[in-house]
Amino acid sequence: MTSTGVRFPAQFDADAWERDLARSTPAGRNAAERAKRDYERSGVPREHLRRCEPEGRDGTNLPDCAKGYVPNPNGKWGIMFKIVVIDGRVRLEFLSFGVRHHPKGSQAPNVYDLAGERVAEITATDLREKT
Amino acid sequence: MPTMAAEEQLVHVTLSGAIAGEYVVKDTGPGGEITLVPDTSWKAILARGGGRELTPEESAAFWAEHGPHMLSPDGEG
Repeated sequence: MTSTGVRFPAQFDADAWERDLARSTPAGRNAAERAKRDYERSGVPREHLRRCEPEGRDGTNLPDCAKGYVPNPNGKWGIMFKIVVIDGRVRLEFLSFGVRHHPKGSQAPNVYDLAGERVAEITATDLREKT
Repeated sequence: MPTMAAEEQLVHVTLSGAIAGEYVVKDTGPGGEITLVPDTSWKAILARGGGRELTPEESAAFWAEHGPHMLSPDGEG
């Protein structure tokens, strides 16, 4: 797909960002930090984004969300944003970062689990972090 | 030390002073000891960022304009 030059400004909540990176591997943290630097400097290219299904296969409810693969375009990690309005302008607000798919049998949350938990305000991560 | 049930609603705490902001209770211990972590719920993220969610009309307009130029859905979530 050719670039149309449309980029969305993005902002990253420090607490949520640090929490998600703390769960990740060194390679994941490096990839995430590189993506964040690029996105904060230049915005997120529209062509990097996919619309999230408003109701995912696992029952998560993520309306007005978009995601990118990290690194773009085929990375094993994902970054989720929610479309918001700040000062009358559309922005991307960071929602979650993590692995897109864990090995079969893993109980660790992936990027979609983290986003769904954040939106739903449940505390599943509290238990997962202790196992 | 007890842990919070998976679907239990978080207990929110607002701190002010040297440490300020929205926190949630992660653990409770003997003698009333509690462990706090920053509130990373979407509601708290949105409040800290100063934004608001799209209205249904704004959402429809956004996806009509930008959705066709994004990558195809991958069915992951």
